[in-house]
Amino acid sequence: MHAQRAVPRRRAELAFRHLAAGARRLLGGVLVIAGACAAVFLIMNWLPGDPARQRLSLYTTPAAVAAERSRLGLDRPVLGRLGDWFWHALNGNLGYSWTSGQSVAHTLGQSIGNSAWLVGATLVIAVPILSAVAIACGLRPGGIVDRAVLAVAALTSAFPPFAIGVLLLLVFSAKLGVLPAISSPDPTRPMLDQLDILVLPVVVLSLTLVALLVQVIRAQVITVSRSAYVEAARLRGIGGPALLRRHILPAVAPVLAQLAAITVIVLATETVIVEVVFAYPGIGSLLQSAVAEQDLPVVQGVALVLATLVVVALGLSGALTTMLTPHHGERPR
Amino acid sequence: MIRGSSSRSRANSRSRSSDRGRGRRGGARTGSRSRTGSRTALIAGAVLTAIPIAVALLGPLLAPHNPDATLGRPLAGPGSVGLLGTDQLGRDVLSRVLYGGRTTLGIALVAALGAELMGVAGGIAVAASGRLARALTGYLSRVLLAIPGILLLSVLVAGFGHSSLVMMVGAALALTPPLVPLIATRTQTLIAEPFVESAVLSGSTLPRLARRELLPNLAPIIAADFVVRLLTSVFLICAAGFIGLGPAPPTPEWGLMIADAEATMQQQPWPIIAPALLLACLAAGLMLLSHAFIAYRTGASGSTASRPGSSVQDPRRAGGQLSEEALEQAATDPLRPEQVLR
Repeated sequence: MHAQRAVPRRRAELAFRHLAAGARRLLGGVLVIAGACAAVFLIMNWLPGDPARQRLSLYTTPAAVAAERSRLGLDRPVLGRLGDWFWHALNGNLGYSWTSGQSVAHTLGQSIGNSAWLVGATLVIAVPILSAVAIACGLRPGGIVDRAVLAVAALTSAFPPFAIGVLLLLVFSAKLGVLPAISSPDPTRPMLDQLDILVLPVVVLSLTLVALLVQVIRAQVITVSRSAYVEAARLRGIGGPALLRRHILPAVAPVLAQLAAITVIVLATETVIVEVVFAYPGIGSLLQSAVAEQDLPVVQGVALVLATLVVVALGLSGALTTMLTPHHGERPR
Repeated sequence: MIRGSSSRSRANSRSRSSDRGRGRRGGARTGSRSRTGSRTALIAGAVLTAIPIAVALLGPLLAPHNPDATLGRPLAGPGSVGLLGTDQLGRDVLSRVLYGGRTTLGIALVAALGAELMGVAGGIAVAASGRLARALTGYLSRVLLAIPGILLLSVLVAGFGHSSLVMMVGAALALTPPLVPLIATRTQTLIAEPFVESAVLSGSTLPRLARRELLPNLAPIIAADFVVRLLTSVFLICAAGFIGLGPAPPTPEWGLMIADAEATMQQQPWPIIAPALLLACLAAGLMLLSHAFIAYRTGASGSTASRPGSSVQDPRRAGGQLSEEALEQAATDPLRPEQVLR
């Protein structure tokens, strides 16, 4: 459909335009990530307090503080250190943890792997189910299923996600004893052997998505199925699965693409908190302990990961939305 | 629009119908049923919101004990010491819940007010300024968006240490970016209105213009937005308290209380259940209030999608996207998904 509408324009010119738009998007994304990293670095390092002083005990000598400052490289100007950080980051070196001395990139790698299990499982299991439920609700608004699902959505959005997590732990772990209270995987065994620890975190993450996915997709399905062209298709005798597949879903698809980005951002934010609830050793727990220990290089590394995730998710979904929107840019404004 | 021809309703009808040609004919269909529905939502929302707010305001006066004092055996069941028993350090749970609301809701309220102020001022400034400033604000808000709220608070605490002030500033900064484009778009629609134009031509300065012409017309949007922003703020502050970013430990704070009680919840679940229920009351109440405000603003009740009258006017647009504004709002405010429906 896209190609047919674009016939008047030369193919090469179109391809060039797409390429240029893509390059512009990429450059913009990189600039935003760099800006976010610089902002985080400056907030943490341009401060009145002295990290070296705070890291040592109360009863310490000025000489010890000075030694700590030079050990951490804090005796150099902030902007110089920021430049160094960028230069090293470009070479794949994110610095070394102030507490453990381990490479930040290495520590991050382990945590990202664990977090990816949580987020990935939620994306694979919850998002298709919720989308299907939302479409079902949208096709029969006001029905029993619709009302029940909306009630669940309202209920889940009334509790903060961490409270949902703790309350579920209270019921399923403390009272019923069917699921483990602490979700620390045994690193020596493959994750597939210990999926039981993922159940509650994934359920909580999925519940945080219910209100978002159900309400938006349902609303879009309702809007589309009341539109004139769907009515026209109905009058032509098209109904059931064909109507859904050929006429309703194509119009819902761009919204799904936009939602995907929001979903990833919500999951990235919520996984930080959900991991703390279940003591799951992912990127959220890493961030929590790094903040508690004032381990600035690790916090900086986590910030880089989260900022990149947000920017990539937004960029990809923007591109996907453009592709999925019917004859985008060709219709009269 | 049925309501009088005050400048407010005029501006409203204009801004809705000019919603890039996708206007919904909501106002004309205001039936008596939706009126009652919206009034019920308003009353229920007000009552539900009032409970936790009353706890926050009056709690410290009603609390039977000092929230930090050890009163007896740790983890005593309800009824033995206080109404809800004692926590893992033998402190009265009820008193801690009653004191904790002031910390949590107080910080959240200040943060939400700050965000609203910055957002409205920023939005008006963006609408009134040139291309360069607009591009710069766009870049800044994308950078802030790439630092999710909980990360921003973590970074601030890592840098400046634990304090209520850090929480307020951090939450306000995290909540501002989505508001700026919202206010900027509305302001641009307003600036094109004849009454604003005439004020500009008669020599009004920007502050005067903002006070006399823009703010009165933006007020309903600001009110509806503030309700949602407050809810986002409360959830953010609680989550931050839960992962240990809030005020230092002896201070009673709902998020921190839930975190502290997690290890001993089998023996004493009340430090978890009581704050969670109060938070849920507040959330449900604020959501109902925001629905009621939106219903008042659009002259219809409930979510637009569930109303039979909200058909799409232009079939070519049906395959298009969700209202860009709503999505931008949702994208920039990942914590509170229900905003997508706005």
